[in-house]
Amino acid sequence: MVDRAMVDGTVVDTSKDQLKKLLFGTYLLTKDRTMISLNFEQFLELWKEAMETSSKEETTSHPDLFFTNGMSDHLAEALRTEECLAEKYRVSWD
Amino acid sequence: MEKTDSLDLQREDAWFATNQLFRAIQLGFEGSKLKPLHAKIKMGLIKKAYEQHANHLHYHGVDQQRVDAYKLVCWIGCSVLSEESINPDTESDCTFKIIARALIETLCGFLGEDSRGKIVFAKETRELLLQMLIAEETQNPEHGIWQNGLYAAFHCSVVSLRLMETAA
Repeated sequence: MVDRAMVDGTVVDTSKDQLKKLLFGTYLLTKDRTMISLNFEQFLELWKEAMETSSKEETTSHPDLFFTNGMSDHLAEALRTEECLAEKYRVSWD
Repeated sequence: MEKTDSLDLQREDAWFATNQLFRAIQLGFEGSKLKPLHAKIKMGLIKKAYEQHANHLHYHGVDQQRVDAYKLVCWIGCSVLSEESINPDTESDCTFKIIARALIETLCGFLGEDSRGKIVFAKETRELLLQMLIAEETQNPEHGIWQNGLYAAFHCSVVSLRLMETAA
Protein backbone atom coordinates (compact mmCIF):
# COMPACT_ATOMS: atom_id res chain seq x y z
CA MET A 1 0.00 0.00 0.00
CA VAL A 2 1.31 3.42 -0.89
CA ASP A 3 1.81 5.59 2.17
CA ARG A 4 0.82 9.00 1.02
CA ALA A 5 -0.32 10.83 -2.05
CA MET A 6 0.09 14.25 -3.53
CA VAL A 7 -3.36 15.62 -4.22
CA ASP A 8 -3.54 19.00 -5.84
CA GLY A 9 -0.15 19.82 -4.40
CA THR A 10 -0.95 18.56 -0.90
CA VAL A 11 0.46 15.39 0.63
CA VAL A 12 -2.33 13.35 2.14
CA ASP A 13 -2.62 10.10 4.00
CA THR A 14 -3.59 7.17 1.79
CA SER A 15 -5.18 4.77 4.20
CA LYS A 16 -7.81 2.58 2.58
CA ASP A 17 -10.60 5.02 3.37
CA GLN A 18 -8.61 7.92 2.05
CA LEU A 19 -7.78 6.02 -1.11
CA LYS A 20 -11.46 5.41 -1.65
CA LYS A 21 -12.01 9.14 -1.51
CA LEU A 22 -9.27 9.60 -4.09
CA LEU A 23 -10.68 6.98 -6.36
CA PHE A 24 -11.93 9.42 -8.91
CA GLY A 25 -8.60 11.19 -9.09
CA THR A 26 -5.98 9.78 -11.42
CA TYR A 27 -2.80 9.19 -9.53
CA LEU A 28 0.62 8.49 -10.84
CA LEU A 29 3.42 6.83 -8.97
CA THR A 30 6.76 8.50 -8.48
CA LYS A 31 10.16 7.27 -7.38
CA ASP A 32 9.71 7.92 -3.67
CA ARG A 33 6.40 6.08 -3.50
CA THR A 34 4.35 9.22 -3.41
CA MET A 35 1.82 9.80 -6.13
CA ILE A 36 1.24 12.73 -8.40
CA SER A 37 -2.39 13.41 -8.97
CA LEU A 38 -3.75 14.42 -12.30
CA ASN A 39 -6.78 16.33 -11.19
CA PHE A 40 -9.90 16.66 -13.24
CA GLU A 41 -9.26 20.30 -14.17
CA GLN A 42 -5.75 19.52 -15.42
CA PHE A 43 -7.14 16.61 -17.31
CA LEU A 44 -9.82 18.69 -19.01
CA GLU A 45 -7.19 21.20 -20.06
CA LEU A 46 -4.98 18.49 -21.60
CA TRP A 47 -7.93 16.92 -23.37
CA LYS A 48 -9.09 20.24 -24.77
CA GLU A 49 -5.59 21.13 -26.01
CA ALA A 50 -5.21 17.73 -27.65
CA MET A 51 -8.49 18.04 -29.49
CA GLU A 52 -7.76 21.58 -30.66
CA THR A 53 -4.24 20.68 -31.85
CA SER A 54 -5.42 17.69 -33.84
CA SER A 55 -8.22 19.54 -35.57
CA LYS A 56 -5.71 21.98 -37.10
CA GLU A 57 -3.54 19.31 -38.71
CA GLU A 58 -3.75 18.31 -42.34
CA THR A 59 -4.89 14.77 -42.77
CA THR A 60 -5.87 12.09 -45.20
CA SER A 61 -9.41 11.37 -44.19
CA HIS A 62 -11.15 8.08 -44.79
CA PRO A 63 -14.75 8.79 -43.87
CA ASP A 64 -15.88 5.49 -45.33
CA LEU A 65 -13.52 3.52 -43.11
CA PHE A 66 -15.53 1.95 -40.36
CA PHE A 67 -14.17 0.94 -37.06
CA THR A 68 -15.77 1.03 -33.67
CA ASN A 69 -16.70 4.47 -32.69
CA GLY A 70 -16.58 4.48 -28.96
CA MET A 71 -17.50 1.78 -26.55
CA SER A 72 -20.58 0.06 -25.23
CA ASP A 73 -22.78 1.74 -22.65
CA HIS A 74 -22.16 -1.20 -20.38
CA LEU A 75 -18.38 -0.69 -20.42
CA ALA A 76 -18.74 3.07 -20.04
CA GLU A 77 -20.85 2.48 -16.92
CA ALA A 78 -18.35 -0.02 -15.55
CA LEU A 79 -15.46 2.43 -15.98
CA ARG A 80 -17.26 4.80 -13.63
CA THR A 81 -17.54 2.33 -10.76
CA GLU A 82 -14.99 1.95 -8.00
CA GLU A 83 -13.99 -1.41 -9.37
CA CYS A 84 -10.63 -1.91 -11.04
CA LEU A 85 -11.51 -3.99 -14.09
CA ALA A 86 -7.92 -5.19 -14.54
CA GLU A 87 -8.11 -6.70 -11.08
CA LYS A 88 -11.63 -8.08 -11.55
CA TYR A 89 -10.55 -10.12 -14.58
CA ARG A 90 -6.96 -10.76 -13.53
CA VAL A 91 -5.36 -14.06 -14.39
CA SER A 92 -2.12 -15.14 -12.73
CA TRP A 93 1.00 -14.63 -14.86
CA ASP A 94 2.85 -17.47 -13.06
CA MET B 1 -27.29 14.27 -28.63
CA GLU B 2 -26.04 17.88 -28.65
CA LYS B 3 -22.37 18.38 -29.61
CA THR B 4 -21.55 19.91 -26.21
CA ASP B 5 -23.12 16.95 -24.41
CA SER B 6 -21.13 14.58 -26.60
CA LEU B 7 -17.85 16.38 -25.79
CA ASP B 8 -18.61 16.34 -22.06
CA LEU B 9 -19.35 12.65 -22.26
CA GLN B 10 -16.09 12.05 -24.13
CA ARG B 11 -14.09 13.88 -21.51
CA GLU B 12 -15.66 11.84 -18.76
CA ASP B 13 -15.15 8.61 -20.64
CA ALA B 14 -11.49 9.47 -21.24
CA TRP B 15 -10.99 10.42 -17.61
CA PHE B 16 -12.42 7.18 -16.25
CA ALA B 17 -10.61 5.02 -18.81
CA THR B 18 -7.30 6.69 -17.94
CA ASN B 19 -8.04 6.12 -14.27
CA GLN B 20 -8.51 2.42 -14.85
CA LEU B 21 -5.08 2.12 -16.45
CA PHE B 22 -3.28 4.03 -13.70
CA ARG B 23 -4.99 2.01 -11.01
CA ALA B 24 -3.81 -1.17 -12.71
CA ILE B 25 -0.25 0.21 -12.89
CA GLN B 26 -0.39 1.06 -9.22
CA LEU B 27 -1.57 -2.44 -8.35
CA GLY B 28 1.19 -3.89 -10.51
CA PHE B 29 3.85 -2.08 -8.53
CA GLU B 30 2.24 -2.95 -5.21
CA GLY B 31 2.31 -6.63 -6.10
CA SER B 32 5.88 -6.63 -7.39
CA LYS B 33 9.26 -6.98 -5.76
CA LEU B 34 10.26 -3.71 -7.38
CA LYS B 35 8.61 -1.40 -4.88
CA PRO B 36 11.49 1.11 -4.87
CA LEU B 37 11.24 1.48 -8.66
CA HIS B 38 8.35 3.30 -10.17
CA ALA B 39 7.29 4.61 -13.52
CA LYS B 40 8.47 8.03 -14.45
CA ILE B 41 5.15 9.23 -15.75
CA LYS B 42 5.15 12.88 -16.63
CA MET B 43 2.29 15.16 -17.47
CA GLY B 44 3.88 15.82 -20.87
CA LEU B 45 3.60 12.14 -21.70
CA ILE B 46 -0.10 12.10 -20.98
CA LYS B 47 -0.57 15.20 -23.07
CA LYS B 48 1.40 13.66 -25.93
CA ALA B 49 -0.72 10.51 -25.75
CA TYR B 50 -3.97 12.47 -25.87
CA GLU B 51 -2.70 14.46 -28.87
CA GLN B 52 -1.62 11.30 -30.69
CA HIS B 53 -4.97 9.72 -29.95
CA ALA B 54 -6.82 12.77 -31.27
CA ASN B 55 -4.58 12.88 -34.38
CA HIS B 56 -5.18 9.21 -35.00
CA LEU B 57 -8.95 9.70 -34.96
CA HIS B 58 -8.58 12.73 -37.18
CA TYR B 59 -6.34 10.89 -39.68
CA HIS B 60 -8.78 8.02 -40.05
CA GLY B 61 -11.75 10.35 -40.29
CA VAL B 62 -13.49 9.02 -37.21
CA ASP B 63 -16.20 11.29 -35.94
CA GLN B 64 -15.96 10.11 -32.38
CA GLN B 65 -19.19 10.21 -30.42
CA ARG B 66 -17.85 8.32 -27.45
CA VAL B 67 -14.29 7.58 -26.47
CA ASP B 68 -12.98 4.18 -27.43
CA ALA B 69 -11.52 3.16 -24.08
CA TYR B 70 -9.47 0.37 -25.64
CA LYS B 71 -7.79 2.73 -28.06
CA LEU B 72 -7.15 5.44 -25.53
CA VAL B 73 -5.42 3.19 -23.00
CA CYS B 74 -3.30 1.64 -25.77
CA TRP B 75 -2.01 5.10 -26.68
CA ILE B 76 -1.41 6.20 -23.11
CA GLY B 77 0.08 2.90 -22.02
CA CYS B 78 2.51 2.76 -24.94
CA SER B 79 3.49 6.39 -24.42
CA VAL B 80 4.42 5.53 -20.85
CA LEU B 81 6.23 2.37 -21.99
CA SER B 82 8.24 4.29 -24.58
CA GLU B 83 10.03 6.07 -21.72
CA GLU B 84 11.03 2.86 -20.00
CA SER B 85 13.97 0.62 -20.78
CA ILE B 86 13.65 -3.10 -20.48
CA ASN B 87 15.68 -5.59 -18.50
CA PRO B 88 16.72 -8.19 -21.12
CA ASP B 89 17.00 -10.90 -18.48
CA THR B 90 13.86 -12.95 -19.02
CA GLU B 91 13.87 -14.12 -15.41
CA SER B 92 13.95 -10.63 -13.94
CA ASP B 93 11.14 -8.19 -13.56
CA CYS B 94 11.48 -4.55 -14.53
CA THR B 95 9.42 -1.39 -14.72
CA PHE B 96 8.66 -1.92 -18.41
CA LYS B 97 7.25 -5.39 -17.82
CA ILE B 98 5.13 -4.26 -14.87
CA ILE B 99 3.57 -1.43 -16.87
CA ALA B 100 3.11 -3.63 -19.95
CA ARG B 101 1.34 -6.27 -17.85
CA ALA B 102 -0.88 -3.58 -16.31
CA LEU B 103 -1.76 -2.31 -19.78
CA ILE B 104 -2.65 -5.81 -20.99
CA GLU B 105 -4.62 -6.51 -17.80
CA THR B 106 -6.55 -3.26 -18.25
CA LEU B 107 -7.49 -4.17 -21.82
CA CYS B 108 -8.41 -7.70 -20.74
CA GLY B 109 -10.48 -6.17 -17.95
CA PHE B 110 -12.37 -4.00 -20.44
CA LEU B 111 -13.02 -6.99 -22.68
CA GLY B 112 -14.03 -9.16 -19.73
CA GLU B 113 -16.54 -6.55 -18.63
CA ASP B 114 -17.74 -5.82 -22.17
CA SER B 115 -18.51 -9.51 -22.64
CA ARG B 116 -19.96 -9.82 -19.11
CA GLY B 117 -17.30 -12.32 -18.18
CA LYS B 118 -17.60 -14.47 -21.29
CA ILE B 119 -14.25 -13.46 -22.83
CA VAL B 120 -11.41 -13.49 -20.36
CA PHE B 121 -8.08 -14.05 -22.08
CA ALA B 122 -6.00 -16.86 -20.61
CA LYS B 123 -2.47 -16.47 -19.34
CA GLU B 124 -0.98 -17.75 -22.62
CA THR B 125 -2.73 -15.06 -24.69
CA ARG B 126 -1.70 -12.32 -22.30
CA GLU B 127 1.87 -13.64 -22.32
CA LEU B 128 1.92 -13.56 -26.14
CA LEU B 129 0.88 -9.91 -26.16
CA LEU B 130 3.51 -9.13 -23.52
CA GLN B 131 6.26 -10.86 -25.53
CA MET B 132 5.26 -8.87 -28.61
CA LEU B 133 5.49 -5.59 -26.71
CA ILE B 134 8.88 -6.66 -25.39
CA ALA B 135 10.05 -7.59 -28.91
CA GLU B 136 9.12 -4.15 -30.20
CA GLU B 137 11.00 -2.48 -27.37
CA THR B 138 14.09 -4.65 -27.84
CA GLN B 139 14.53 -3.64 -31.49
CA ASN B 140 12.85 -6.71 -32.97
CA PRO B 141 9.87 -4.96 -34.55
CA GLU B 142 9.33 -7.74 -37.08
CA HIS B 143 8.19 -9.81 -34.10
CA GLY B 144 6.55 -7.05 -32.16
CA ILE B 145 3.47 -4.92 -31.79
CA TRP B 146 2.90 -1.50 -30.34
CA GLN B 147 -0.15 0.68 -29.72
CA ASN B 148 -1.96 0.03 -33.01
CA GLY B 149 -1.27 -3.70 -33.04
CA LEU B 150 -2.37 -4.04 -29.46
CA TYR B 151 -5.48 -2.00 -30.14
CA ALA B 152 -6.30 -4.06 -33.25
CA ALA B 153 -6.14 -7.28 -31.22
CA PHE B 154 -8.77 -6.03 -28.80
CA HIS B 155 -10.79 -4.18 -31.41
CA CYS B 156 -11.26 -7.38 -33.43
CA SER B 157 -12.24 -9.21 -30.26
CA VAL B 158 -14.91 -6.62 -29.50
CA VAL B 159 -16.20 -6.71 -33.08
CA SER B 160 -16.40 -10.52 -32.90
CA LEU B 161 -18.26 -10.23 -29.64
CA ARG B 162 -20.79 -7.85 -31.19
CA LEU B 163 -21.25 -10.17 -34.18
CA MET B 164 -21.92 -13.11 -31.87
CA GLU B 165 -24.37 -11.06 -29.83
CA THR B 166 -26.20 -9.98 -32.98
CA ALA B 167 -26.35 -13.54 -34.31
CA ALA B 168 -27.61 -15.00 -31.03
